[in-house]
Amino acid sequence: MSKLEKVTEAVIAGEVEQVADLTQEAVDAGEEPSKIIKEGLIAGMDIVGTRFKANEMFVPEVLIAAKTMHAGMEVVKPLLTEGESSSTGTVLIGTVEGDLHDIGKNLVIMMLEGAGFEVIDVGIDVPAKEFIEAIKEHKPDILGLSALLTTTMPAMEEAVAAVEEAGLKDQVKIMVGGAPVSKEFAEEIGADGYAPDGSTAADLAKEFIA
Amino acid sequence: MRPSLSFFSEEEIQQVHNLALEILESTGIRMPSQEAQDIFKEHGAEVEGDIVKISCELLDKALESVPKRDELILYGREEEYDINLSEDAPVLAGMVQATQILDLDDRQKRAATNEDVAKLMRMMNKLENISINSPLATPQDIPEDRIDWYTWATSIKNSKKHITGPAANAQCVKDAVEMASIAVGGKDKFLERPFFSIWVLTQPPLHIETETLSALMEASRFNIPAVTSSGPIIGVSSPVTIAGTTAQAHAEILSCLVLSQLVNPGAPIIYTSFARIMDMKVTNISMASPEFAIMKVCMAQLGHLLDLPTRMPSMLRDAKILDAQAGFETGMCGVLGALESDIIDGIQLDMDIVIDYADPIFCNEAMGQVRRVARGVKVDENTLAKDLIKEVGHGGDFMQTLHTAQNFKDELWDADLTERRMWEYWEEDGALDLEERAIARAREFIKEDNGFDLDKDLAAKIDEIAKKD
Repeated sequence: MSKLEKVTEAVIAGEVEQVADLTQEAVDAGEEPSKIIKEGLIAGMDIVGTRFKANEMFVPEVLIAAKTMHAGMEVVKPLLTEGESSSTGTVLIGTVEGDLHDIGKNLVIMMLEGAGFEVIDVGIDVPAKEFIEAIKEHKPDILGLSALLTTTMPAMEEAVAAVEEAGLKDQVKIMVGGAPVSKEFAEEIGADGYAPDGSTAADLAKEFIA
Repeated sequence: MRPSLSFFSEEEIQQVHNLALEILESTGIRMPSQEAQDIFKEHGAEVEGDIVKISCELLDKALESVPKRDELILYGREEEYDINLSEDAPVLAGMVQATQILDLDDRQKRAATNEDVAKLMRMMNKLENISINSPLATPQDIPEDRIDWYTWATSIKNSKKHITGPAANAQCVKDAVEMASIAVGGKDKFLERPFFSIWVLTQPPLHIETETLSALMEASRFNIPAVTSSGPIIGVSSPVTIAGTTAQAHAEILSCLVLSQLVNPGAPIIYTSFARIMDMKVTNISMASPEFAIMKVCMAQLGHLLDLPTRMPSMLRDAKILDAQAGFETGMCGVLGALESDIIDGIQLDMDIVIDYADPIFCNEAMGQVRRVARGVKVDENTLAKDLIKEVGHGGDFMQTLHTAQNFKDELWDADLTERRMWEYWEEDGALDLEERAIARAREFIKEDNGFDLDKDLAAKIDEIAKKD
């Protein structure tokens, strides 16, 4: 097994403890840091994603694999040259105003991170205004909006409208999700996409970036 | 701890048990078999005409020699399917003697064939929550006078797991032993690991047929477990009240137990009861009524009182098809039965008349859930997770902890056939209901099925025995 394959295997098996050493071994063997990320760490998560979709892996195992990938990332990240990025893209995410739920949002975050995204979590009960400020500050590729209550769905619509008004609609793709949200609703309020669950959200985010 | 369920208090169960002892001693059981009567007489029992009266002393002696629940292993034809009740209970077994089947292709009801029985047994070999195989139906396309023999031949050729089947009489048991010996390469090998058990059904009230007794005695000689049931219909062949019915059924089962121990001390008995009700409007016999479920628990309690392995038919359904009625009957009777008995029987519909290719797939899934319930809650340092609770702290998240990843598989039942996805995914896959999903799985299985894997010559020898008169 090559050094990179070992890193990949460690990610799949969720070997949080071993992955840093294995990644370091790959670095010492002269592998390019960006290659270690792409063909070692992210490659592992790609396989995890495939297995998860085939019902061969479960959410807690995916999350531990993601944690493992990040532990490996910590080793290679400082070695990246300027202009090289370790992340697939940046997602800014939060639960809309009036809604205090975050379990669904957190699951989406973990799945996005597992797919290699950098995620900025602005928390719960976030007014439209704050989303706009955060977008201006962090310049994410994607904005994720979450709602669990039917009563907060209008707040989701307001947030999307605010992005439009602020003239940021061309800069970020907006994806929405949460129990009461549907594909139809997403289209109606002018969001770019809807995902029914965390792993689909990660796929959708990848599509947006591609 | 493993949860349990009781309908009788300690005092009540003693009352029921004592009544059974009194029935055995004073009223006695009618056993028209001369052979059985002679054995009882020989051991000092009082025999008046066909009535055998059994004293407490005789019963106590029998209870000493009969294998206790934790001592019994039900062997599979293949060792990996052995069942050790102390570790594996509760387990699901197939029932026997339905006659009709829902066709897998056109879904119409028709007579069940030998081929259906064989295919279903091969399917049940592969279903992890079905631990004991059975010929779910009596094939309707074989010579009537050789029904049980053909059924045994089919069972032995197709099942890798332990089998429980019907045996008409002693000769049938003998022939089944011969067939099973062929399958495993010799009688000594079979007797070392007898991989089938037989049904012994009393004829309530207080009567056991000669042929049944002959089968029981023969099985006892071979140390083949006798799954011994009294199945009175309350208000018809026993008092309409559950307490009296259970006492009467208990007495009948114990009389068989004593006979088996007189024939061969140490012969295994599995304590079972089909005590049931007649619907007082339509006069049909229900196999899934609330009272049926209650009586299974009551009888299992009586079995437990004597530390016997218990087996109760708690996954049978009155429903005609796998509909909501079937779902609830499966859940109600299944959970109640499995909480108190070691083995539960099921996988038949329409009051034990109809079987369905989709049903083993459904029952397998249901039994997975029932077993999870019956396993209860484990409490130890790891499961209490004291340090973890502190570590994660206020408003923290347990999802990414190693503890979750390491323990979720032990703690959570893994749904398979059960639909829990988002509506759109379910819709995308055709919006199938449970029955349709089970049928699709059954069709997949039948497509991949390659027939039985026993040597062709051995199978031919087994068929010879089934055919001969």
